[in-house]
Parts: sequence; structure tokens; C-alpha cells
Amino acid sequence: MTQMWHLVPTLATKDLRLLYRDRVALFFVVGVPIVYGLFFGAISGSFRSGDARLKIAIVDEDRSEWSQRLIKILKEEYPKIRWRTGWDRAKALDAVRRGNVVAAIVLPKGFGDRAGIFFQEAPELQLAIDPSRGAESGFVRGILMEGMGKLAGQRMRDRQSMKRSLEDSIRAIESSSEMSLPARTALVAALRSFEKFFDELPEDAGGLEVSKDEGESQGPEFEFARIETLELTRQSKTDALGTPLSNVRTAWDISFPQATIWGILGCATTFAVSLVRERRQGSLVRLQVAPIRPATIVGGKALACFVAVVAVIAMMLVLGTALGMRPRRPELLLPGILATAFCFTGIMACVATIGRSEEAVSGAAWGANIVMAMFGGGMMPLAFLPSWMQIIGYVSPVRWAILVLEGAIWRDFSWSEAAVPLAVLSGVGLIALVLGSTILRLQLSGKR
Amino acid sequence: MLSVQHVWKSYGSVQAVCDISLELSPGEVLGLLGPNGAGKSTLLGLIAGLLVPDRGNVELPGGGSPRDPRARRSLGLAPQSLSLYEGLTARENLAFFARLYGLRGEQLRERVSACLALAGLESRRNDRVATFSGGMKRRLNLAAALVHDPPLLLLDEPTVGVDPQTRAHLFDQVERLRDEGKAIIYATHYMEEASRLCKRVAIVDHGRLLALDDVDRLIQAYGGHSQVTIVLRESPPESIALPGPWQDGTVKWETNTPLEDLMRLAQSGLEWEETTIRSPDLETVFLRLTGRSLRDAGASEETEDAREVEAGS
Ligand SMILES: Nc1ncnc2c1ncn2[C@@H]1O[C@H](COP(=O)(O)OP(=O)(O)O)[C@@H](O)[C@H]1O
Ligand SMILES: [Mg+2]
Repeated sequence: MTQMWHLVPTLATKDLRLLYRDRVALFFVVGVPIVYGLFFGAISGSFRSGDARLKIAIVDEDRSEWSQRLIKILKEEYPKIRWRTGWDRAKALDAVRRGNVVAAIVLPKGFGDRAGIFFQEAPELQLAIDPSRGAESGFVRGILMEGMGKLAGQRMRDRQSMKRSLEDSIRAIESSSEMSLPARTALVAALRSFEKFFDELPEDAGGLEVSKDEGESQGPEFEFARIETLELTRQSKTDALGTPLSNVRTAWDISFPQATIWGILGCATTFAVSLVRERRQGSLVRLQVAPIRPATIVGGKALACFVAVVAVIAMMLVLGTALGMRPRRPELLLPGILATAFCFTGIMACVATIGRSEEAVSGAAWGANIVMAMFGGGMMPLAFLPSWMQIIGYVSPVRWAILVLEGAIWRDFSWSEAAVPLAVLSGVGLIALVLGSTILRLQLSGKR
Repeated sequence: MLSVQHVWKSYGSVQAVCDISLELSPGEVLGLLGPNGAGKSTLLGLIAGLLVPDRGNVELPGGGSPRDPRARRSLGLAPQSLSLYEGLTARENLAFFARLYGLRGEQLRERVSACLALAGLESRRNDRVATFSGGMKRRLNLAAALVHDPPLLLLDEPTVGVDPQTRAHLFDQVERLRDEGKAIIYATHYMEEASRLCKRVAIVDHGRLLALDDVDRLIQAYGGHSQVTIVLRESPPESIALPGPWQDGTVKWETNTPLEDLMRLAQSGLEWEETTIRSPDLETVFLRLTGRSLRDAGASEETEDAREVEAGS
């Protein structure tokens, strides 16, 4: 036993040194995950910024000339915003809830009757804004006020409509029972004089100039629109596993756990092949003749594999952090790394038993790796994997390794959520290590 | 010190070692002579604990079985095929193997330098084995078996695929090790190597130990007579009594007294051109024992050697 404490590290050091000197193996273990992580992180990062245009839905429930004019004004003034029109209220509000649009503007019935007319009660607009997009809220209100100001300007120039509105107003006031007669008389008189003023207004007189920030600096004395805010709770968009995608802070959050898997698979395969290579190059004979037990030989390989996997994951985490990845649950990383390394060390021991030639072992191992990675989220991220693949993926250790890393990085796993992948990884590792090392020990002890 | 008692080993239907027994004492080089496939490597594998005998028993110096890891400390094996880490340097290889035997610190450094010197690789000690020639690898392969200074050495065809200088170097080393008191088993299919290095030789074929004795005594017992050949172009006169029949311009005969025979022929007035006297050697012994010549039996070995050289370069 005391012997093992010296010999296992001796054996492992030799293997790590050989790995370090083997350019090809080093490329698979270190180069591939870095390139993979950077490449996929970079392309999905650019997808996001390409999609950064603000999306606002407008629901026209009024379907009047003036509601359509407002929509036209907004579209013309803000061509960079992606305006969604033609949706009904429910669909638009749902889109806000899901985060598909930043805001929904609802123009309710009767909007056109009052919009842009000073003497009427300001028209009621309804606005629903994604609460998580606080920064955009003021901007949306601002452009809405500006649009309403422009609409008012248009309407003022539209004498016919203005006169008709005035007449409507006068009639409304005259027939109002809530106002006292003198008040009614005074208001009607005032409106009539306005009516005259519009009659005398020259054709080409400009409408109201509305400054850009009018919406926000809207004085209390005058409103183009009364905006009623519709309270919405943001129903966040979740991935296939139910984690809010808004948790993802950078593209590296997804690309790095995925890329790390390829380094881990590279490690496991390299060490499985190296055991077979020792057989081919004859060095295994010397290990077998030396005064050490077969279990020690297997232990040396296992330790080397374990250390290499830990190093690869650590390297990827350091690199990701340098690029801006910020694990939400850093305390889950250490157990995650250890369980993952343990699991793939066990898998390495099993893979090493499957063949007698390097070609056979590496061929079989990479075949298995690709299948494990495909269903486990090593190729397409777990977050977007179709459900049938997710189900098959349950048997892939790759899935659990990615899950535990993602749990720490962006899925914000609690300890109890992390317990499942940690237990699966440790359990698979234990079974595989016992199975693999038992077979290897038998193979090594000459009982062929 | 080494004792092999009635060991058997088969691979499926191939009986690789049948009932072989031998003993070895310190300061002795025992030749294990046999053609390719005779079972030499299998026997060494049984002694080294790489294989488990189907029957029989091996006792290492110190009394342990080769299946016991601690007992294996007393033996060093230079396998037939090169057994080195190509990615490590000569020094790193030796240091790694030394550590497996528990050597540390100053003791380790001393043994590693001694073995590098023995292999004549001091100037290349920090070069990777991958850059070595076949001969250099062979020398390192032997040195790696010696790094823990074991009393028993198993050398399996240590000269396969090496150049003549390396061969001579290896012979010197083996003789030196013997003089230091090591017990050595030297497996080879080269009769010349066995007779040069070994006092005693075990002749094996098809897994069987055909004979085990001093080289001289084997030749006495199985070598038979010397073979004399003279070239005689013209038909010899009737008057002279030839020791053998005249055929194709030569006369061949076997005798225990070759020089006397030739002297008598010369005195009788016979004149001839060339004389060849072939004294009995291990080759003849092998021929007697198996009905085949060692060279023919090992014919396929030559191609294997060629492969070895290629692989080693
Ligand atoms: N691993 C093995 N599996 C099956 N047969 C083997 C194996 N190793 C050796 N043999 C057979 O055992 C016999 C003895 O081989 P070996 O001990 O290598 O002979 P040698 O070393 O004298 O050339 C040969 O017939 C060989 O083919
Ligand atoms: Mg052999």
C-alpha cells in the first residue's frame, strides 16, 4: 500500500510527460476544445448582436384613419425599430411576456376620435413594456409621445377634421349634464372662437413642432396622450431544460462547457490508447516485470487521466473567465470538475480494455465519443437539443458533465439540482472504474 | 539461486514450453539456444512472471515466486522486442524504471549514470529515444534491465538487428556482468553467441529441452566427428585408398583424427587443392538432436530480424 503512494504518481507523471510531448495528442486534448469554444462562442455571439434591433408591437383596435396615421408616423420616424403590426392584443402582450418584443402599444377603440385634439381628453393609449428592459421603457414612451405630437400637428392642419372635432366637442359639452350651465356656455364660447381661429389659419401654416425629447419632458399642463401602463410579468424564455435563457450572459457560457467536453473525451481516449500503446511498444512488459501490482499500473493511468481532465476543465474555465464568462455558482465548479474527471477516468479504463491495437481502441473510442457527444450536447448545445435527443442523452455521460458545468456557469443550479448530475457522474465513474480496472488487471497479470 | 522445475505452458493448441527444468548459479551465463518459435521467450516470460505456468514452478533468487511482486526485484529482463518510451530521453527512461524499483535520490542518479555509461549513451542521455538508432535502442534496452542491479538477468536475443560494433559491445558487457557475479540467461538462436558467451547451454526446440550441459560436453556427446572435405579435380589413382568416396571433384569423410588422415593421404602421394575441416559445434549438436540444422529451423527468423531492424530505425 505504501508502495502504491510512490508508484502511482511516478507512473502518472511519466504518462503526463509523454502526453505533453506528444503534439498530436496535445492538440486533441488542448487545441481542439479551445478552438471549438472560441469558434462556436464567436459565431453565436455574432448572431445575438445581429438580432439586436428593438422590436415593438402595435395593436390597432381602433382601426381608424388616425390610428393608422400614428402607425405610419412611427414607422417613418423610426425605421430602425422592427414594428410588429397586425397582431391582436393577446398575441402582442404574450410576445412581451415571452421577451419576443420589448413593448406592445395598444390603440384602443375610440383612439381616433380624441387623438391629437387638444380640447378633448387626451386619448388613452395602453403600453406594455418588458419589465426586464427598464432602459428601453423611457425611450418607448418618448417615441410614443413624439408620434402623438406629430399626429396632433397633422390633425391641427386638417381643418375639416379639426372643425368636425370642435363641433363634436361643442355638442358634447352642450349636452353634458355634469357641467353647470355657465361653465358650459363659457366653454362653448371659447371653442367657437377656436373654430374661427382654425377657419382663419392659412393653408401652409406649420403644425406644432415637437422636439425630440418632448415625450419625456412632457409638462403637466399638456399631454398628447395619456398612457396607461399594462402591468406584465416577464415570463422568461426558457431552454429545453427549463432554465431561463436570460441567464446566459455571454455566448461563452454555452460554447465553453460544450467545448470542454471535447478536451475531456480527448483525454480519456488518449490515455486508453496509451495503455494499448505501452503493450505495442513493449514498455508494458517492463511494468509487468517490475515489482508492482497490476492494480498499481492501472492506478497510474487512472491518476494521469484524472489529472489531465481536471487540467483541461480548469484551463477552459480560466480561458472562459478571461473572455468574460462569470460562473453564477462557482462553488459547484470544484465538485463538478472532480465528478466529471472521475467519470471519464472510469470510462478510459473501460475503453482501454476493448482492443489490443491502438487503431482498434482509438477507432472504437472516437465512434463512441461522437455518439455520446451528439446526444449529450457536445455538438448541439443541450439548451437547443430536440426532446427526443435529450431523452437518448440521459445515458450519455457527456450530458451530465455538460449539465454540471452549465449548472455552475449559467443554469444557476442549487445544490439539490446539481446533486443529480454529480451523482450520475460519480456513479458511472465508479462502475466503469471497477469494471475497467478489473478487466485490465486480469489482462495485465498474464491470465489471458 | 534460480530454479525452474517442470514448467509447462501452452497457448491454445500450441505447446510452447513442455516440462522444462533448469538451475542457474551466480556468475554463470546459461545459453538458451533454439530456433525461432522454440519457446525461449515463453520460458523467460514464465521466469519473469509475465506468464503463469500451466504446471510447474519457478523459484527466483531469494526464494520467491515470480508472481510475487517483491520477489521480482531480483530479476532484470531485457525483452526481445524493444521496450522503451520513445517520447522520453535515455535518462528519463532509466530513471523511470529505477523508480519503479524504489530507487530514489542519490542512489537513483548513481545507477542511472552507471547504466548510461554501460550502454555507451552518456553523450545522448538527454535525447529522446525516438531519435536513436536501432543499436542504441538495443543497448538502452539492456541497460534498462540492469538499472536496479538485479542478481538475475534474462536477456532475450539482445543482439537482434544490431551492427557488429554494438554486438561486440554487448558481448563485453555480458562478460563483465558475469564476472561481477550475475546469473544470466542468454536466449539466442545464434550458435556462435551461445558458444562464445556460455559455459553451459540449454538446447530447446518445439518447447522441449533437448539437452543441457557444458558446451564441450554437448559437442563430445552429440557433435560426432569432424568433417573433412578436400577438392580433388582429377580422378585419384587406384592405388591410393581414399577415406571417402570421390564425388563431383571432392572427397568428404568424417573422422576423429582429421590431421592424421590428411597427413597419411599426403604421404601416399595424393595431391589436392583445398582442404576444409569442420569440427563439430553446437550446430552439429542441434542437427544431431533434431535432424534439422539450426539455420534452417530458424530460417524465418531472418525475416523477423529484418523487420526488427526496420522497426528499430
Ligand atoms: N501470445 C502468444 N499467443 C499464441 N501463441 C504464442 C504466443 N507467444 C508465442 N506463441 C507461440 O509459442 C511458441 C513459442 O514462441 P516463443 O516463446 O516466442 O519462441 P522463441 O522465443 O523461441 O522464438 C511459438 O510457436 C509461438 O508461435
Ligand atoms: Mg523469442
